[in-house]
Amino acid sequence: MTAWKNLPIRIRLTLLHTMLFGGIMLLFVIGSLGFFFLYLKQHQDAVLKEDLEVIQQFVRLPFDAEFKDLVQSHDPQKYERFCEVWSGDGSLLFRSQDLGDQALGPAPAAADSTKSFNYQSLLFADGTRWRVVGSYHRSRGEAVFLRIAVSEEPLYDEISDAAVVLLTLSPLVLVLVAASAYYVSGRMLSPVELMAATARKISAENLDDRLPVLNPKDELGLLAATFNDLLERVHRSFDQLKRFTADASHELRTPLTAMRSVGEIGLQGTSTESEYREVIGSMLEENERLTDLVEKLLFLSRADGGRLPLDRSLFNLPDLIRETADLMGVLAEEKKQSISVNVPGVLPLSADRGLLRQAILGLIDNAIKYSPDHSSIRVTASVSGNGLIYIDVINEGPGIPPEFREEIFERFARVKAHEVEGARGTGLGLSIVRWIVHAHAGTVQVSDGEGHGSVFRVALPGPGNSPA
Amino acid sequence: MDLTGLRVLVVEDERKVARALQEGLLREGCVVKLASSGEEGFFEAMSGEFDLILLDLNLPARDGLEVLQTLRKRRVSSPVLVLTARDSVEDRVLGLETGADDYLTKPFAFAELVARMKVLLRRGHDDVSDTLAVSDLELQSATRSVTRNGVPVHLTAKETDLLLYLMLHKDQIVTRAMIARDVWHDTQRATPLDNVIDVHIAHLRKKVDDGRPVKLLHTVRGIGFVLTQKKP
Repeated sequence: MTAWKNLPIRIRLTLLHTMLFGGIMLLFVIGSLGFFFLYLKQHQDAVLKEDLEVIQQFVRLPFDAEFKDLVQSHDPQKYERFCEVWSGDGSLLFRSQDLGDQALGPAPAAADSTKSFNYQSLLFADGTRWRVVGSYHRSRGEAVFLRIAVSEEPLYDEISDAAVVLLTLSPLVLVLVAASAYYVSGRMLSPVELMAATARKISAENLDDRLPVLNPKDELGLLAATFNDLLERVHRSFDQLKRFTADASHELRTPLTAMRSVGEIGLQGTSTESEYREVIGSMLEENERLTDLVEKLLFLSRADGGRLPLDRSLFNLPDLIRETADLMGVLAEEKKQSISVNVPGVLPLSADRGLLRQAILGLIDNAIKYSPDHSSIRVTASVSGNGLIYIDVINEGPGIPPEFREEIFERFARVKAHEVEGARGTGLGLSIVRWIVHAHAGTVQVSDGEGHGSVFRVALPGPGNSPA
Repeated sequence: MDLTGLRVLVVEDERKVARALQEGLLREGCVVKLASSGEEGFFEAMSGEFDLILLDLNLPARDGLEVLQTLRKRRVSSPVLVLTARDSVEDRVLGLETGADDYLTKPFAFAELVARMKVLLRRGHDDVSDTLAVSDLELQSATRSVTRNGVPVHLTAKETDLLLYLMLHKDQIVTRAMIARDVWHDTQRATPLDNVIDVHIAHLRKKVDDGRPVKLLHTVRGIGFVLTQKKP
């Protein structure tokens, strides 16, 4: 069975097809020969019966010349026919001379009223096969049993001739069938070869290559299209990964470089104790930065790996928003910004409170960082007509050009034009926000605020239409 | 010092980390024994003469968790503080189920390690007295009123919480991570909380130290903060 499985599909299809066809052909040949044989036999029996009835007319006792002529004549053009006549009491009255001792059957049973015809096949001593038919009839008031026999050999000859012809031809037919099956399956499978050849050539360097779709409507075309779809996604995530790796290594290198140079400078010449403390402290600060970055990257990679299950609970969203705004209030005060919270008294939400808190913290932190001093930040919560829960964080910053509105949620993406002096983040904050919101089957989008500034809107499914 | 005379076994294969831990713990007055493989750590621990075991999880020869499991089976009951660079929830749970008493994720601040050790050994500040004092700064724990040199200092609720925590850990460095966890009760680390803490510290310092000849609240660069009358 494994040997069979190791064969290429094309060969297997061909063999299977040929074997099935051969089997069907064999059944067909046997069936038609049998049918043909029966037909010939029936025909022969019918002719034989007619002959018997004709000859019965000539059976007159004593046998006259005409009868003898009829049954003795040996015309090579006509077919050979033997005859036997029995009397009603079972004595042989006549037997064709050529028969010699060969009987055409035992003495007939006593005559009965039915005029039945008694058929039988007989094997002569010389090995030839004969068909015999016998019947009683009345000749001048006396019951006479007449038997005639004709050779069955021509019939067998015809059947065997037909069988020979058919069986000689069938290997040829099978070869033709195999060849056509091989050809057809080859043609049907050719797109697979092509796809495989193309797929083999696709590597990280040419991920934009696609498999050929020969016929988009058939199964193989569908398969190729599906693979192309897969390649597209692989390509996209590969690009993302490449970008991410480049960005991450840049972000990781920055603190590493700082640590190294601070350390090197510190070791040059002799310094006082307080100078050394300064150097070590500075290195520890960079270490802290690195730790923070790694922490965030780990969070995102765990999130990507789906290893950050949501711990949902039902809580009052306005409480969480007020608490978060309170927490961040001191940061806003530093920039003389004000945070105003506009939320309904009660708005229940089923979500992972800790994660959602982190998301709101991230959005408010972002607003504080990128808004000018003395501006105000508004945080609101509301329920939309279709049951979605909106959390809006509205700032009076410079706004974000439409072309960057998707990008700012990407990892390490910071819109250069809007990088504010002193606002140094890892560039991961908003992508963590987006991950958290997506994990809750929600969306986060940024749009223009009234006048100026931006609105970051988180839309979450409400309790009514939250996924189970 | 609280940890004076404490016998500590440090099972850690990373030489630099092990040496740093040894150095730091010696300064705290501990008696330190180093083991650099799981096997070695296991046999040292089996002697049962340690008050506390610091156990790294990624060890050569024998995995840290396995060592811990075997130790617990053999009824070695010394408290174990697991140090791990594996930062996943499952590992933490597994570690605690296996019999660890606490865990710290690498990288950690030494100050945090010391604080955890004290908690583990219940040598911390169980005895909260009515009045906490550092130099002339006093906090009445019942009324939460604060005075400096007898003059009332008006603090917000959060600033008071922060000061209380710093006073409970007086003369010890506390890290931002410790403050975030113990004062803000925030377990997630990927948050902008550090900035919030810095601002509160700045406010607190202004109210407590501004215009005083002796400064009490100090920033230790790259590590955290310390409330002390000694110069750090």
